[in-house]
Amino acid sequence: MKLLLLPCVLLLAACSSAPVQPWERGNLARPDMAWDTDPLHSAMRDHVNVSKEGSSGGLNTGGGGCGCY
Amino acid sequence: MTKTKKCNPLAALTTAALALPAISHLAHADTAPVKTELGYRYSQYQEDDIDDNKILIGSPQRYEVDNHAFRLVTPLNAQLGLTVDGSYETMSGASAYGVAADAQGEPKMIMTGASIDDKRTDVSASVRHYREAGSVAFALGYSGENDYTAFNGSIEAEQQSADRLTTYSGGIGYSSDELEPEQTPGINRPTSEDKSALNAFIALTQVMNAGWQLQGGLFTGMHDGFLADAYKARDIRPDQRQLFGVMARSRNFMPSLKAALHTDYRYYNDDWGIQSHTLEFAWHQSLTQQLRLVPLLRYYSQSQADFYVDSDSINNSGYQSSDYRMSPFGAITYGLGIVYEEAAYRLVANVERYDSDGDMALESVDQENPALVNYNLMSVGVDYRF
Repeated sequence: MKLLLLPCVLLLAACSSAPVQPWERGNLARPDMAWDTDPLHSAMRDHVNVSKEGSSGGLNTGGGGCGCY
Repeated sequence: MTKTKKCNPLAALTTAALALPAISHLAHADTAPVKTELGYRYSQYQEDDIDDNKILIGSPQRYEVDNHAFRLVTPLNAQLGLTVDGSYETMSGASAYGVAADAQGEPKMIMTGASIDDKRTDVSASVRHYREAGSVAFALGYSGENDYTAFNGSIEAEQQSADRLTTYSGGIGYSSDELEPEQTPGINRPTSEDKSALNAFIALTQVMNAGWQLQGGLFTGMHDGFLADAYKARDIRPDQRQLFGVMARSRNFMPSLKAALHTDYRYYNDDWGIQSHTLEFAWHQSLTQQLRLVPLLRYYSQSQADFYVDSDSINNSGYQSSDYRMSPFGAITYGLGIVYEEAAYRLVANVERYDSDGDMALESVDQENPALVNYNLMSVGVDYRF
């Protein structure tokens, strides 16, 4: 249950963000700051994890296919 | 004593402009692609052989997969972007047919011969329409194997707040799958089954400061139809599954270290009784302006499904499965990536090691499933922009 608190804490923290001007967002636009830095590799990793573990899903709409390794 | 640092607008704008090539990496929907990008990855997936002392019958050899993946991202006009993904993979090896108790009552694997030889083709296309402070994307996909065909479609939308610091997003997707198991003389398998999946999510992304952004969201899914494994000896599962999850992600850049810390957490729960926790850290360390190293660590733990059984038996009744994916276990992934990036191209390589074990689970496991998987995943690739 303690781990469940983590997203709640993060979301509460989001309520207290500081103003960031457009010219201050260079670091946020860096390639190593992307939510998914390598979509092609992530797709393979997700495909393997979905086929090897009993849970799946995330902040996407998923795809289709068996993945029955 | 505190120093007050004056902001130099010209220097700041230059910094932002230097970061522009990176915009294509943002999976965000606020900017249409301005260049075409082609990507290719070759991945090799190799499972460890099963220990001989865990097998009752069959081959210790497990799955091996070679995967070729392609991606095209290109602008169609100022407001439309197209993404096309394709992959082709070959799979070979042996799979678990069942679990039986030996004379001492210990669960042992019954493996198929190393005769599996399958191919999978996966294609999807997405068109995203960009408008003021938001976007909408439509996607269609197809996946085909010798014994499996799936069609899927989805719609996703994003909207930014007026100050562009908060992004609201959501999406819904549907997949329709048909299974036609290959038949083996002497084994009774279904000839044709189908299933469907409806998945949806909502998320909120918040820029916290000039080097930190957070994302939190909820996701759910409803799966319906034939959800068992047709290639297992006795695998009888409910024909419906409802899942729910919470996800939180953080991206934090530390200029003094020239490094970005990625933290991802997911909580998952379904009405089959499985709960899981996934926590992942990736450290993107820039060594030069072009080169960076990316070590990662991922921890996963799940509880067992309500109908999980240690071994198959004709004495079991009702829903039952000895599939290791329904068993309680934990797993750790260690990985290392290397990225070399120029304005026009990018070279990448990754290696990962996945080890699973009953002892790694958050809760104690009385009887570990003998089929738990350990594997290596390696990939190399290139992206080219023009």
